[in-house]
Amino acid sequence: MPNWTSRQLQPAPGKYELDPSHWGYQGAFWGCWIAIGLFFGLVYNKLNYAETLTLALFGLFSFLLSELMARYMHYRGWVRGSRRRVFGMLLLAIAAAVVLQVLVDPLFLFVFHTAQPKQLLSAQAILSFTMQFSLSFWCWSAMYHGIHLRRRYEKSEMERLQLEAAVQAAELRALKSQVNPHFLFNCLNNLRSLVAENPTRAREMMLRLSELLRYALEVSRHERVTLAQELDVVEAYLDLESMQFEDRLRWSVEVAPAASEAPVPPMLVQQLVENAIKHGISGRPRGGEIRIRARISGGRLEIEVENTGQLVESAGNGFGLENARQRLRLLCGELAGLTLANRDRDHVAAIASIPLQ
Amino acid sequence: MTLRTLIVEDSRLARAELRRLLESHKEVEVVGEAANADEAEIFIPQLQPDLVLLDIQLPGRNGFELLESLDSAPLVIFTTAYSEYAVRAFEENALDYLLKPVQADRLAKALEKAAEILARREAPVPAEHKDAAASRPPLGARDRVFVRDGENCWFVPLAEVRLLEVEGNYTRLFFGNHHPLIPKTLNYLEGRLDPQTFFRASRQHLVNLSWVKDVEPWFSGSLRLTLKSGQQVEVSRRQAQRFRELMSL
Repeated sequence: MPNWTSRQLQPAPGKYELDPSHWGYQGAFWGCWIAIGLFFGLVYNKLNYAETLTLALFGLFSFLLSELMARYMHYRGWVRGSRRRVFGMLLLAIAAAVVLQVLVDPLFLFVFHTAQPKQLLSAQAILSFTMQFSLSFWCWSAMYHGIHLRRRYEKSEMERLQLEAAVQAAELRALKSQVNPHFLFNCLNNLRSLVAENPTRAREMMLRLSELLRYALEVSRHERVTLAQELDVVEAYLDLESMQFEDRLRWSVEVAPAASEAPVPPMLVQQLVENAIKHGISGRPRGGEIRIRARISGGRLEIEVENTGQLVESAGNGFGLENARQRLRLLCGELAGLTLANRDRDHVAAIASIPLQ
Repeated sequence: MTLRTLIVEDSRLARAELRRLLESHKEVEVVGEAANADEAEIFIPQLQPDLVLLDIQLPGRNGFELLESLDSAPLVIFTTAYSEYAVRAFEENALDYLLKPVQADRLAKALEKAAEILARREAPVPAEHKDAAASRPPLGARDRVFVRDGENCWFVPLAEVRLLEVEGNYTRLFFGNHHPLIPKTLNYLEGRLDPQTFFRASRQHLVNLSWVKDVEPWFSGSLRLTLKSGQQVEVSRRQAQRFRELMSL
């Protein structure tokens, strides 16, 4: 089962791209291979025509075979970390060593005449060549895998960092959307004025503001609060908005006793009220009224936020509402709903309906 | 020199706070307060303030819409609690704005700048104009109009406006590299602009005469004007006669 899922996440076999510096480390590896051969040739004083040719031909063919191996490994997806890759690589290296002899030995025997059949075709010679070249191909595969392992690690590290940044940005957006900066700065400005005008009330309003901020910052980690808790904060919010709107904002709250202990997602009513203020009060020079009502009916909690004003089609109120609706469904299940409609000629009502468990 | 100032701001506490901040500026005289755009639209022509401290977010029409509705824009310092896009528009055009809560030193700088601009504008409006605001003197080259185009806004001196063009119930203004629309008809503007400066070339166009570089005869008695910007405007046959009269004076 886990294998099945990890397969699903990997791209289909057969499609691959070579690493951008593929040729760089191929050149480096086989360059070193030949350099080491030359070094030992010089040390043992055997660097004659036959030995140099042998070195060059084996180097060239090994390089070409490694290219084939690299492509085969990519094709099978071994470089992406399959469990079978270690065993597969061992076999592949031995096969490559055998193929190398099949390709190169005839050249020595029939083209360059630098070796005798008995030198190359004895069981001992074949075995020793196979061992020797398997070893160099194993080294090569170790290097090739090492590089891809490192690449994969770098890539996953990058992806992890990107994901972390995305999560942080999302959290910040959530925080910002909970406390409207417009509201916050107006609030601070009004508070500043109130300190000079009515210090006692200013002190009271500072408490209300900290109540609201604490709730917005802390409670979002829980999934549910009681309606009574939420309404305490909504009242704090309305008190604060009253500094801005004064007698332009009139409001009332009516909650059936049974409803006050019902669970609600935090900031739900607050958002509806904020929306009501935005459309029903702040845009109207003479202000208006907001009525919040809650009751239990037919196994559901119904919360209604009504404001003065009219819903205008295509007025761009869709996004905030859709957001709130999605959030409500996410937290309270598919049966929860949110509607926004004109109640009469000058009242709009938002109704959230949440099934009780 | 006193700065006769009008405060436009919907929150009473915020108005009181501004008044309190302005107390330490002896050169500032607060001549009135308006709580929304409708009130401000009445007060501005009546009181003819030198300076308006204008909140952008107002109930009903916002601060920009208020300015667009005025024939000529007063000197304005915007105030805003938080501004996502507006501040960008200001910074590009160097319009002054204050973030609320307002810092005393930022306010002092903005007032200083406003006083400088006012001192630089030649010849203050004659006193009789202030008393007889109802007679509404025509707008001359010194007056400014507030123009908004998407995210950008400008206070454009009429001297820089070379051409006005009909666009339905709106009028397209040509100045610098910009040609935004303003929500007024060309006929209305013709009635408000100084006829010595702005000439009605045809049904489509009102031309700033100080921008005319070249005049040549065109088909059947009409004329073609070439502006300093290279734009060409046709003067209808009927208006060509008036143009010749005006020019021969």
